[in-house]
Amino acid sequence: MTDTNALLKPLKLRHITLRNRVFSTGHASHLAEDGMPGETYRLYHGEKAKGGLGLTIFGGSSSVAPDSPLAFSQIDMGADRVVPHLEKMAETVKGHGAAIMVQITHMGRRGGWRGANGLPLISPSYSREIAHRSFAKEMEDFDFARVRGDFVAAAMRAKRGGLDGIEVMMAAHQLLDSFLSPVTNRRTDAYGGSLENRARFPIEVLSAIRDGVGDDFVVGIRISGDEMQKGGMGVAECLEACQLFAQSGLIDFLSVYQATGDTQPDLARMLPDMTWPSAPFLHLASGVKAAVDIPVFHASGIRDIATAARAVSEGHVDLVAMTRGHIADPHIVAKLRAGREEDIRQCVGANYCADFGGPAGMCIQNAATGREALLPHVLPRAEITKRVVVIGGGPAGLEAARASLQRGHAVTLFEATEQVGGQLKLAARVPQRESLAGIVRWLEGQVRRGGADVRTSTVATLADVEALSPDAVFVATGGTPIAPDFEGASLCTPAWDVISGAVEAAQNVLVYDETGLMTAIGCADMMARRGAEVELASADRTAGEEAGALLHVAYFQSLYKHNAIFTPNVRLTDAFREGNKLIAVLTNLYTGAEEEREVDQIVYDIGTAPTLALYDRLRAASRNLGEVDRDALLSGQTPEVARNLAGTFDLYRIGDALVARNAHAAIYDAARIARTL
Amino acid sequence: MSAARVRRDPRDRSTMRRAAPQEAAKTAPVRQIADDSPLVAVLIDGGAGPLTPLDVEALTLGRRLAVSAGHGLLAIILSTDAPSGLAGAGVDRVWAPPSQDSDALSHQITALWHDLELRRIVAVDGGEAAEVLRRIAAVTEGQIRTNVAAIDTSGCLCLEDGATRERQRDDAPLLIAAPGRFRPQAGPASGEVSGDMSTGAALPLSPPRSSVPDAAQAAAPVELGIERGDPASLPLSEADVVLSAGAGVSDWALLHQVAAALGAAVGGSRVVCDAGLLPRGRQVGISGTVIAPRCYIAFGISGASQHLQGIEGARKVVAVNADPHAPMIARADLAVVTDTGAVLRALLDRLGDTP
Amino acid sequence: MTRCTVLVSTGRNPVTGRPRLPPEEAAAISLAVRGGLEPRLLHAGSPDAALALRRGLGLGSPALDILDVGVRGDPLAALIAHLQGDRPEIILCGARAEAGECSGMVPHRLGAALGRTVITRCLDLSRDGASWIVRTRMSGGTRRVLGLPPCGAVLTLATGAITATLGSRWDADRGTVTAWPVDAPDDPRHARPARPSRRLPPPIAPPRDIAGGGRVLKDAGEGAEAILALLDEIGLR
Repeated sequence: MTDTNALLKPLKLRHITLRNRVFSTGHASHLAEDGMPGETYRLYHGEKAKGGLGLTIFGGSSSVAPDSPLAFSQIDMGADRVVPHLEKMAETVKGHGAAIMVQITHMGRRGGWRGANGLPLISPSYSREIAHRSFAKEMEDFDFARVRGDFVAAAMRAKRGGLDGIEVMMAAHQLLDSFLSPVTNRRTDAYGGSLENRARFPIEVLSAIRDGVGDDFVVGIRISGDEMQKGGMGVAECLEACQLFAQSGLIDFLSVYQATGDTQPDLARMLPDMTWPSAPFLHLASGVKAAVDIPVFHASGIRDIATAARAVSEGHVDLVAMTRGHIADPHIVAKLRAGREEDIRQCVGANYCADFGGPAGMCIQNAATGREALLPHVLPRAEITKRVVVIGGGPAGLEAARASLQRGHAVTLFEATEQVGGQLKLAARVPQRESLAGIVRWLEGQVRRGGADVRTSTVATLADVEALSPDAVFVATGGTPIAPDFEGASLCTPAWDVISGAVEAAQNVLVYDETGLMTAIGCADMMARRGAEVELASADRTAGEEAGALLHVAYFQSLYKHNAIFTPNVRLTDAFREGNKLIAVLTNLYTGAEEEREVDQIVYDIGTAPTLALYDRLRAASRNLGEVDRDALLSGQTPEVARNLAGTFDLYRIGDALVARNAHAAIYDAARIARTL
Repeated sequence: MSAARVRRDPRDRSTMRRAAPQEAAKTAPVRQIADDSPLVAVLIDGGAGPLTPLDVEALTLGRRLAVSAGHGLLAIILSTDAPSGLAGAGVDRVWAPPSQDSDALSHQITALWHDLELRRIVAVDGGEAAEVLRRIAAVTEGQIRTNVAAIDTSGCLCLEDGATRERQRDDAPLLIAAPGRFRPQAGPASGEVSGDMSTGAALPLSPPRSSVPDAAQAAAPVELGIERGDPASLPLSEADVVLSAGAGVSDWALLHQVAAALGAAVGGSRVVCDAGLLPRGRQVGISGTVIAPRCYIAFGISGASQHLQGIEGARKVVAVNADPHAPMIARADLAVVTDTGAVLRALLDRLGDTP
Repeated sequence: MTRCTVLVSTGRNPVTGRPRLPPEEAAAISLAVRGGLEPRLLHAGSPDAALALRRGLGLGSPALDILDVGVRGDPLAALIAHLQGDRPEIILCGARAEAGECSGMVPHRLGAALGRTVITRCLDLSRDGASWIVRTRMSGGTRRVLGLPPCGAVLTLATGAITATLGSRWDADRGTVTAWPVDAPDDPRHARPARPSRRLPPPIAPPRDIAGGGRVLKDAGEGAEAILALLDEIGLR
């Protein structure tokens, strides 16, 4: 096993000392309110500081100027009104012993033009980024001094706000990186051509910042170690760029990043998800570390403590980021220090935070992240111990059990199958999604160690529940696949059956995606990898539309590689047998025209409907008849409703048993009710 | 607006596939050397199976030295089993000393140095080979450089202070290279061998007499026996064979019995360690222990990527799993797709009671 | 009582860079103490090392001797001269230092100069009448058991052998520290200057996909035979 002590050693950084080697990189949390880091933002970072990390960099891509588009609800560092917010952020984070910085940038061409206050986007050369679909004008002479000034003013605001330093974004083809990269910089003047010329403007900006902020302020950059793009900078040139900045004497650290974000597959390389190996780009940071004299930081798919500790103890980096790791569990370092490594909720790399994020839910498995004001990460013990029964051991049921146990209640959990996990068990069978099992593993560990009575292979009955005389009952029985609404539906196979292994993939297959979730594209890929010829038909403009801008990438890559055919904008409207073949009928949503496919197997995902047999029986015996007080729920109060005086318990329907959504929603349903019990 | 329904094959079967370009040959070009060519010797650990990364590195260094000096390359293999891939690494001659004892080994290699008039003997740090070379240097009072990061006509660049400092030093005939510096692929930190090395340091044509006095030989330690480590307590990182179990294993007593019979250390997937079926120290994978055993046998482990990364260095991988689609099956050199318990029982039957 | 000396050096913490007693040498002290010995600690270098090395006294050693060889003196020559006079029966040291040349040659050069047998990778040491029994680590988890004649040997420790008991007898104020200047020849290494190295750490490769693409069997008996045949083929049975 790896010695984790290396992570706990302090690091001196200019005028400050970081208490350990673990940090959180600047990232788009989508939590800013009107461009400002408000209460939600402050508590979100405060929680990480409380949880023990050494440094938190907030405000991923915080804009320094009004023509830097707020592409993903960043912080506006271009206005003085941000300073009081920064002061509060600094007070909270420093109060918990961590250092705090903000990442500043000019987005350049990276963003939609609508986010730039009606001003033209700017870039070293006239160009358009595919990802955000907007053109940017070539910077004119007068733009240079203005942008330099904007950077200095933003840096001064950070200093006035009491932050320890800033990180200047010099990656992802944002403005300064657009100068560095030959992909985006086609200038023929002193700012284009050689690396020295391309680095001229970034160096001018850093130099002006250093002049402005003085010596007692940390300034670092986030820079690419490999653009991984045709015509872009490879490892050798990026290394040269890193050395150039390190030797400039202007900066205190280099945070090594990779890729560019120009397209969705490029973006997926910046935020490697569960389909990537662990620490896939650590070698880039390690190479930089070997070539420069200043501290090197790195983030990217470092999800577990052992890997993080190896990265530091073997000398590959000085500071290791577990940014998504802290979204899953803000208390990583505190748990490590307390010898409670087993309790760390490890990031599974689902990229829920990056694909969705924001106030509607940051983490697929941790409902409290980003909702600290209403939902504490550690629930206080209840004054009265209650008896809680949970029916169903999927994510909703497990979370209901876990949160109830943390409140001090006695919990009995019924699971009909041999193992808990619910639909996550299925999802984890899809190739490259094995990590999803980690959500279940952690929840189950917490529930079992917390002392719940877990009854697997047990289909709970009304009598079973009543025998326990519960105070509260959670129905988390999930759902079952909805079948297509036509006569030949029985000839079609639900994607679940293929994923579970109950049905083998046939040779020539039509997969129909109506939900746009991972189910159909994952199932299609699973079959394509096993040699099936797959056509993936979807009702949306593309398959997997709801799966997220990052999450779908690995599956599209694999589906294309395995020669799958994509057919968008159709509905599956009929199926019939002809000889030993099946005929599928696809109807074009725009024209109504029908086409037939001759295949061996028709597989579909149309979503799930709640499983309600037990709920219907429990309703009559419950106090609230299953109803929840919405206002109470939204304000964090106990959502009790007294409808049936003969009832002996409160009944809560959660997760897909309530309505089909996803794992985050299921866990959130459970957490916010359980916290009030 | 119902148009006539058509049946269509969406797949354009006439698409021409462009042939994949031929992979460039990765082996060293063939070179003829004369029977009486002077030789540069490389000490490697060897062992059955493909060459280890460390041995590949030693041979890369040896070949660069040999080629730049116009000498032949002799591989001295310490293990009784010859690895595969020696010819591809540019080895001209191979010799395996008869003894396994490190004292005797160093004397035999010293004798070979005398007989063949070897020009250099080199090794890469981290294995038995480097230890043997240290012994040779000590008993012959030979000039040796250690932690070598680069070599050119002016001498060796040697790392010091835990590789944080470096110092240029005179060349020496015995060299131990720092690991990771002479990998086959060129990289930013790859050590170089540059210049015409034919005038570089060379071993004296015959080694000085062994400096170990006879009296000490008389008082040599007595060999009292070899103990097989207890597989249950054998550290994973030390074991040649690791028998590893995942969620697909239910009979743990049987698994431990088979491990004991094979003399294998027991490891496990994250799932079984999380479930408390094995202690955390037994968890194989990048989030547990990274291992490189000579043989890794995975029972009922599906093979999540963090697990596969943790056994990247394993030389042979065996997967036993009821699921033919488990990633571990694709990773394996030998796969058995069936119930894990059945294979464990069959193994135990064949191993009998013999340890 | 058998006289035992443990050679100690100043190491450096790989993460913070601070001087320390290398864990391997701390383990060597523990190993001697567990074997029933009272090892003296011996360091050739600068008296400044005492601060970091005192920790070794807390592990159960009564005394630390420092041979002050000055800035350029050759510590190995000083150690050889001292040990030729002192003649402890058992000399323990780490396989290689954490700072300085880190050549790993010290035990071997000492053995050659003192006419002692060098036994590497020791795991433990126990008394057997007048002689000693040493267990050493061999590959694949096997252990070699050696009987040590009373005339003495140089033992080096298996890397990472023992760390669990470190600090259990932490009491650095016990024991005595003596330092005296020694005339040692210049270390020839210092003929040329050292400079910071840009070549650390060894670069790592990106993770890669490995396809085994091997044989697939379905029958348990056949599978068991094939597994055993594979182990035979690579010499592991």
